[in-house]
Amino acid sequence: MIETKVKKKSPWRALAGAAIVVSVATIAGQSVIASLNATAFNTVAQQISAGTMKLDLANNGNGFGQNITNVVPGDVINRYVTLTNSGSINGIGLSLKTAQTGTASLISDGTGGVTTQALRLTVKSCTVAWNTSTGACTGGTEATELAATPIGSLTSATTLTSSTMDAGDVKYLQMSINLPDQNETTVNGALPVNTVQGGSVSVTYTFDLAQRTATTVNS
Amino acid sequence: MKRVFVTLCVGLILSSISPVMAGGVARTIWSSNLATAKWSVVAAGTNQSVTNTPYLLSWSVIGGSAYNFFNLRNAGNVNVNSFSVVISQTRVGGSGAANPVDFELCSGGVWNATTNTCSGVVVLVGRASDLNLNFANLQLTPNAELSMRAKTAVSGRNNFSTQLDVLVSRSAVRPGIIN
Repeated sequence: MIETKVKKKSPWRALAGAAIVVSVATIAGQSVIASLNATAFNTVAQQISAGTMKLDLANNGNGFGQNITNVVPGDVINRYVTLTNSGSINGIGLSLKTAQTGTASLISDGTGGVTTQALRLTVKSCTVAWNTSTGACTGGTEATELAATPIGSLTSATTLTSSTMDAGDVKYLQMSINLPDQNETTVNGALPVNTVQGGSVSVTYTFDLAQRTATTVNS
Repeated sequence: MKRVFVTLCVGLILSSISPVMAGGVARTIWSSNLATAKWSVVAAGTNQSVTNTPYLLSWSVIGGSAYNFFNLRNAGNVNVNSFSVVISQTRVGGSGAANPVDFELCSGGVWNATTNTCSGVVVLVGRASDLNLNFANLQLTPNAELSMRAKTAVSGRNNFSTQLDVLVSRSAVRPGIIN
């Protein structure tokens, strides 16, 4: 008779093995902590401050604050505003766009019926403050920043001719609205089709000034 | 369902990315309102509202002269310095030409339809046979009226109508100005 003897594994053997592994790992870890380190740092903290972008608009005279009423073809209404880069960053790409609601014939030129001509906006600048009574740029240099453009065509940002504004720069602008002269005859009080008469428009002017190009400074 | 949820989340994240994030931009916004003028003159009876249609005088002359009173009113919102009235007459019954009609302005006053008198000065503006009546050198302010009387020539029985069309052109109001 053959007797088979099954040898049982002792649970203590596994436990002892695990203890050995943990001990080795602990010893190895302590050996890293024990290594030498060197540290250097600036004793005075480096100061980094971000610049600011700020564009202010103020009325000069009536400015945009006063509503314009009873406009007839041929009228030119000049309003004066002052733009100031009051941030600390030089700006580029000064642009203007308008958003308008109201009578369609005053916003876009007509194509059918009575062909009407919509309101035009012209922007001029003066290097000194405008004389808001005479519309003269006395003692300064006058420049056209935006040629006469139907206001309906200014819904996308349009860059002004001199579009850079360094920090602290001031632009004196003449915003000139013109309803081109055009003939319309009213019969028995009934206005012509697509008339420019008796209409109204609300115009929102948005000036945007972008930050100067980002630079890499070595020193 | 899970796919829809993921799509919505991605859309929300994308839509929250503003163009301003691309760089520093300073912006300033201002609004302004503008309104245009309206030039308009209408013919209307006393206290009659504007209909924006031709004004019609109906005549049933049974002998002698007949009268009609009406006003030419500035129905716009800007002063009018001139306008014209186009006259056309149509016979309603009978035969022959319609009666000539005199148009008389009561300058500086008003016509009294009851007494058939003018409190100002009577000015003959024209006759229907003139076809066009031209008013000039006026300063007709908004809502102001010119008091008019139409009078047929003396005749026997005569039925006809007179149509008035009032025309105001752009040149009838002030020229463009810079202000």
